[in-house]
Amino acid sequence: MTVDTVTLDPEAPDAKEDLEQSFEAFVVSHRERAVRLAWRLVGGDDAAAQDVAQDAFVRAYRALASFRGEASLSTWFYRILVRQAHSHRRWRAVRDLWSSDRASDANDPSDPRGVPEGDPALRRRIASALDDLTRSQREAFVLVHLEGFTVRETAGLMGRSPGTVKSHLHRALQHLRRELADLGRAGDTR
Amino acid sequence: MTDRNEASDDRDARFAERLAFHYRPEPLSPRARARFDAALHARLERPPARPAWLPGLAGVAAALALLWWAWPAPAPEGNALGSAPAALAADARADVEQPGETDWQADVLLTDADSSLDEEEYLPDDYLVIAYALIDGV
Repeated sequence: MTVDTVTLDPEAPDAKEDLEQSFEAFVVSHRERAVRLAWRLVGGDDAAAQDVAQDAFVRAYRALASFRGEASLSTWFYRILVRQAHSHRRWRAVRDLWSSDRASDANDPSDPRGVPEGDPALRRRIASALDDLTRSQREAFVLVHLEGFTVRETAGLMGRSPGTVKSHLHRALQHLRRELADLGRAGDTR
Repeated sequence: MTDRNEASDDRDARFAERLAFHYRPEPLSPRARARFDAALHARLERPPARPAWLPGLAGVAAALALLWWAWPAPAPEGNALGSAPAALAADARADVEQPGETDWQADVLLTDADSSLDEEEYLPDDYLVIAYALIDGV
């Protein structure tokens, strides 16, 4: 049984053990991508990304019994994760309203949780440009262009039609190209 | 698809690739992976948070419903605190209701039957004033 085609039969002997083993294998194979996707969706915060990914795994595990197998398990899981990331962003926005202390913002290069290698200033600019997008534009862009999901998969994850996703992608690209024009030019001359 | 569209798509793809390259987290180190797994395991072991407050909320709702239902129960006589909204409503209803014929007959019967009843006590105050002025005064 592959982890992506996990089937549940509560009557089956050892169903719980099978489920736990399958889920563990699923976590191992999707952990890295889940954290990366969450990181990109929440705006480059390591701790928040891990929190969101873990939360998504926990929710998926607890809701496995209701998984009907209409989509692949991974599609179902990433749908949960995208929703969790959005929920995190909303709560963070509420928290930020009450407190001007942005210590949890990983865009701060002095953040002790570890800043990935590369150009921190550029990363901040990208995060800021992504932040300016609408939720749908940001999710569509991150899922398709940064994470490599197809438009059809992304439509399934976002609960939108492929045409709507394409429209969001187009607008997101327009905005990002405008905001990060130097990045586009640097690439064209490369 | 026209050449211009293809060129634009190519440029967009390259631009997105550069963004993806610059905007990514550090891969999880083996230690970070172990920490992640341990934290996830701990969360999975923990009972779901929702049932912790949901039964409490249900209990409060049930208590409120019970209180609401029990409120109109008649209070002991003379207990001012016991006068409930429902009792007040009943009083208000009684005030609004016009005395029927049976009430009037009952009053007459009561007056006739109980001769010991002092007339002055029985008559309302305004009737008494009239009685003093017109009858006693004569």
